[in-house]
Amino acid sequence: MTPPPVWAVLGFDGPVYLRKLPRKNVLGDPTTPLDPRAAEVAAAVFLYDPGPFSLFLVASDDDLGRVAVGYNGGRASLTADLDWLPIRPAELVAAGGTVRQTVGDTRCHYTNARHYDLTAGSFELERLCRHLLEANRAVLSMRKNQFRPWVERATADGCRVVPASAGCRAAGCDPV
Amino acid sequence: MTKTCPDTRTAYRDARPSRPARRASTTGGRGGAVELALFRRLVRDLILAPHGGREAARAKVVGYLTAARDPDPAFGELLFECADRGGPDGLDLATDVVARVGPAAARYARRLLTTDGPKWKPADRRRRVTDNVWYALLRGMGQSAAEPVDQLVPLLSAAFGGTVGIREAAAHALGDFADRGRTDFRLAARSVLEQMAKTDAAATVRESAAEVLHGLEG
Repeated sequence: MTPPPVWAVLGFDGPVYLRKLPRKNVLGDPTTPLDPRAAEVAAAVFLYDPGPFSLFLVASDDDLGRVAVGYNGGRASLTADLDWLPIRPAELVAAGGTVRQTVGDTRCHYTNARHYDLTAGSFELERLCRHLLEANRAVLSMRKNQFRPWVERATADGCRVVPASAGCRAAGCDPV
Repeated sequence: MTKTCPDTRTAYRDARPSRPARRASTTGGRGGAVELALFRRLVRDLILAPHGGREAARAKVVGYLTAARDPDPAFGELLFECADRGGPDGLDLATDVVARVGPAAARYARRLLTTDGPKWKPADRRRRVTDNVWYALLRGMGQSAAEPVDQLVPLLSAAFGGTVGIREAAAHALGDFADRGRTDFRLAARSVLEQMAKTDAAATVRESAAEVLHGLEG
């Protein structure tokens, strides 16, 4: 089964950072004025943590599927719902955030190799969230049905998130 | 080397505002408080565990909840800790635990409903910590082996009487419930979701219900 195309549908033409969201609807109430809403979103997406803030850099459906399954390796089910906030690299720079590649801690080396730490203060994060709200950035939601082909592929590759994996044979999945 | 971890690895931080009051331990006095403090430690270990260590940490939390004579205070601890200090994965962590201890979680949900339910204001769009508590509780319950009939009161109360954030959570939980339940309960869940998708006053709730229905058909 071929994984569904996601990237082209989203309209991204280059690499995008994904910030994992605690739940889908964290982008605030559209009827709230922009500035307080941006502050609310920054708090819900980033500022409940001391930082740095974890991001994953993905550039294709292949990346997206592998990173999502790799991330779900920490869940009770590999097909658990996932919600991400996509952020273009230029948007992070414009907001004043700095990004540094670090190794993730999932079981999947491919996913870990795409992990980044974002360092930014509340002012920069609110500026970033304000921009994302102005750009009507949508949450990227991944649901159980979408995961099945990606999990099948991970199983066929022997991805380390799959129970009883004897080692991953996927290209680009090397220990970091 | 000092361990400094980004937030998917180390989501917990100590210096946070106080949380809504939780029910005091009913296991009695100092012993109950000590027991709860030990359980809190297990929850923090789960939150701090790397992805690869979460299954073992989750098993300890589940083991405690399964063995506890009165698990309600521990449920409160788990849910508020994960909702308030759990980082981007906090709700997922709590959901996965609740899913493994379904019947006890359903009992806790019914009790929490009696204290928190009267505070719900359906038009309230502000996000509260308790919205996230209900999110993890309802979703975990919907994915659990708890008796469907025991889940329905909290699920339906949340679907029709919760705040906006709780109604959104109920929509997703009804999807989980419909995915697992008996045919008659599945049909009931779909019917509630259809009603939410058509008539809920909040656009985000209608969208959530429609999205869940779409997923069930896919």
